[in-house]
Amino acid sequence: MKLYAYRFQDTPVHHLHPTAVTTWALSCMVLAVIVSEPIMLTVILLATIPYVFISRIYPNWITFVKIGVLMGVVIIFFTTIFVRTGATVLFSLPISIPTLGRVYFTLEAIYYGLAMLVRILAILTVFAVLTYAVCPDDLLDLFMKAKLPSRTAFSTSLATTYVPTLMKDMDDIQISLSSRGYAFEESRRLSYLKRKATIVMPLLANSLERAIQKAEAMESRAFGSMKGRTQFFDAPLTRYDRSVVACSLLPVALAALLYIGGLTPYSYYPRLEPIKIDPDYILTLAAIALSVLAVLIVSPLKRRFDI
Amino acid sequence: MISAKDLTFSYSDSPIPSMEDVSLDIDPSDFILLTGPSGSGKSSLCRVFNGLIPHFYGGKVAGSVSVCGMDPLRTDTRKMSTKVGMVFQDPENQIVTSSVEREIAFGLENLGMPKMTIAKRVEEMLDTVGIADLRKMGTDELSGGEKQKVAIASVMAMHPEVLVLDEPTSSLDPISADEVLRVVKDLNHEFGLTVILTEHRIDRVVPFVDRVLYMSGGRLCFDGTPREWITSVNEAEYGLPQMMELGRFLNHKGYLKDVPLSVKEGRQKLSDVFAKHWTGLELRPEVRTRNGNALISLQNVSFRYDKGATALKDVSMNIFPGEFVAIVGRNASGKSTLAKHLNATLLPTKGNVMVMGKDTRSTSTVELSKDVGMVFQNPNVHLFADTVYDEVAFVLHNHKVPEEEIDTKVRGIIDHFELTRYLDTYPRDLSGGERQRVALASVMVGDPKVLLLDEPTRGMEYRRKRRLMDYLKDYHDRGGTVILISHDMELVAQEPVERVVLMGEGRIVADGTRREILARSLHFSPQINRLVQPFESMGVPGDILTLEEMMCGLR
Repeated sequence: MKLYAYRFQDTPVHHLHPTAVTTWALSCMVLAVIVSEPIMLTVILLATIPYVFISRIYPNWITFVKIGVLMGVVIIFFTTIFVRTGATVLFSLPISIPTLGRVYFTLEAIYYGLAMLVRILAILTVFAVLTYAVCPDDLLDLFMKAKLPSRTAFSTSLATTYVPTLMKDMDDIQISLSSRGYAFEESRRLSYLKRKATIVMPLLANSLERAIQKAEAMESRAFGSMKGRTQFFDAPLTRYDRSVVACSLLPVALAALLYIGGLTPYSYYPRLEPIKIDPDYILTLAAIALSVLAVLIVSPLKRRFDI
Repeated sequence: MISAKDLTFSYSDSPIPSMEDVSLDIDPSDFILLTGPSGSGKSSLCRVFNGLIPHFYGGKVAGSVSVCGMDPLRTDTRKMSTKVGMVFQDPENQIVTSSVEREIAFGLENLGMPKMTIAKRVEEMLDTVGIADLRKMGTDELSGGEKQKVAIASVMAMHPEVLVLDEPTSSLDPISADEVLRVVKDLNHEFGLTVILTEHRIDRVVPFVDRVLYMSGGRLCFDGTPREWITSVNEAEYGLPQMMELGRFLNHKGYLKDVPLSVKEGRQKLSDVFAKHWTGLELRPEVRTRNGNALISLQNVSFRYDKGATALKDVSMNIFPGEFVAIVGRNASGKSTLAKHLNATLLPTKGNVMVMGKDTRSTSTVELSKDVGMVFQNPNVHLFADTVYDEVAFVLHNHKVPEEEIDTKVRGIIDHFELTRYLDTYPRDLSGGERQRVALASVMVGDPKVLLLDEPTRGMEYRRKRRLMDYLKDYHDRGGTVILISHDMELVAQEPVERVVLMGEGRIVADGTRREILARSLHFSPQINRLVQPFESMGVPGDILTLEEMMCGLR
């Protein structure tokens, strides 16, 4: 798995004001959390994907997707085994497991797990856009403007830039161990995992040393010496930016409407609630897609209206 | 400006002081070189000047110190930052923002300065340090040298009176290192800034420093002018660059009154010495005699990283059994990428790499590890065991070496690298240079047929470099093949090296014998060679590369 650090690219998303992208991201996350109907969740996910391609963050996004799928598989596994309320039994294990008893695999549990996977992927996609299309320093300025304590804000901002370094460290340590004859590719799964765990200690030690060195360098440049840290690069919100921020609030506004209209809950158990596909439903799906895509649609206008 | 009296410091987890009874006085505008073997307490002393010791590190401090009228032992580092600017060893780990301008403004923002003052100082520093062309760049797009210059600009923006630099060039190639040192020199000469510089490559800084402070075993053993230091330093303990050793030799013989500190001085002073004492020297012509079946063969190898940067472009070369090859070139010229292809860590995007008749595409790094040992640039990636002993024994356990042999081998190599007293120490408690030696020992103990070394002398003093070369010579004499990647031209010019490959922009630019590549070059040559180049008309061969060769011709 590879992750790269943030790098500015000449894309409409990168040119947006950080407030707009951050608001959009939070807004989309709220929508994805409130909605639980699987097709709506899928529409949310699909509507976030164009942001990935327009902002050219595909390689990093793929890593996020891999992490999401891994989490999804775990959720599907556990819901299938532990949730007993599904009515449509697809198959069952021939043996009985102590404590759990007979394990039934129900269509509803698998469906629920898959819907949760889609939700996780939608949230991770939004997070990937926020991480790789917004400069971490702009994000830091934003946090500080929101009156978050500068130390906390800075630690958060630094932590986001830290992940790619951690991934690179992990690769380097693994290569170094392999070149000293340490085989990770053991045939037995448990042994493989045990061997992989060898990386953890040097990885932690490296990270700790790196963190100490960063802290030393920051302390030597008076970090934390004043309460009122100057925000030299604070970019003001223009009229255009304010309009985009307004667009970025559409998903959360829609989430509120759907919630009030009773359209957000969906019942997976004991049987999957039937979905009635009528013009109203299709309109709702279109509204969800448009609300998520709104910021992307207006983003190329920045250069025209905001010089 | 700086005054210390009986300064003693020990880390809270160490019974042995890392610095003991250090007393010194530094005047305004002094340029000080602080040097000494690794683990001698240099970094600790640097960190006392801005209060990182004791405020950041804790530990026990005794004695007194005053810096610009302030007491760093009682003043918070953040308050000291307007008086003492500090630049650290690793350019990666001291940059905290994502753009050059932001990095320079970082300290000023922390001090709560008005925006106009920040704008003015950022502008000023971009020009002072000569990085105006980098202002809009992201910090991750910069080279190591550029990062160090940005780090200097960022502390200088706070207008300190003292600049402390802890081995700022140890991870840079010679050209980038020279650029960084030139900036530091200008800051001292043009702005009268007091500079304290810790540096192992003393040949690069000695010409322009006012004083040398030499530390050993935590004590300040010498405080005087560079010339006094060169003539008095205990060479067995520290070692000197070859040109200074030559000066010292000629001084002891009575041929030279003053030891030359730079190539320029050397050329001026040696003219008479060569006229009177040069007896002639016939250098053996170097011919590449290795042939037959290649041990390692690269055929039209290209490699592109995921991000799209092409690191190797159509590289073809053969390495023969028992050959000693040095690979040189600028940072990011493709040297390390090439080395990683030789043990299947990286696989070519195009072309083939054959190692001992095996295609790396179908052979794993682990399978090759018995035959190909690799020492990486960053020693930290090697260190994971609880003790130095376990770290070194690791490869032998993986290769299923009988237990009774392991102990003998481990103790032998630990002794060779002078690490015996650290046998039971946690490797990450050691200094940078010591870690480098543990990393070397942890690979070399496996006695592979091919040894790949990527910048093995980073942070090592001269004497230890020589010890390493002795070891490599011994290994080579026993039939081992060595591939050495280094920025250190003095190291590459040494005797066991047979062949030098110069890389640039992912291609092999030149490939020849040591003398063909290194002699009569400006940057890719050792100091000794640059010294003798104008004396060819006096019969001094212009392709002398080492001190030993030079000595042979002097009566």
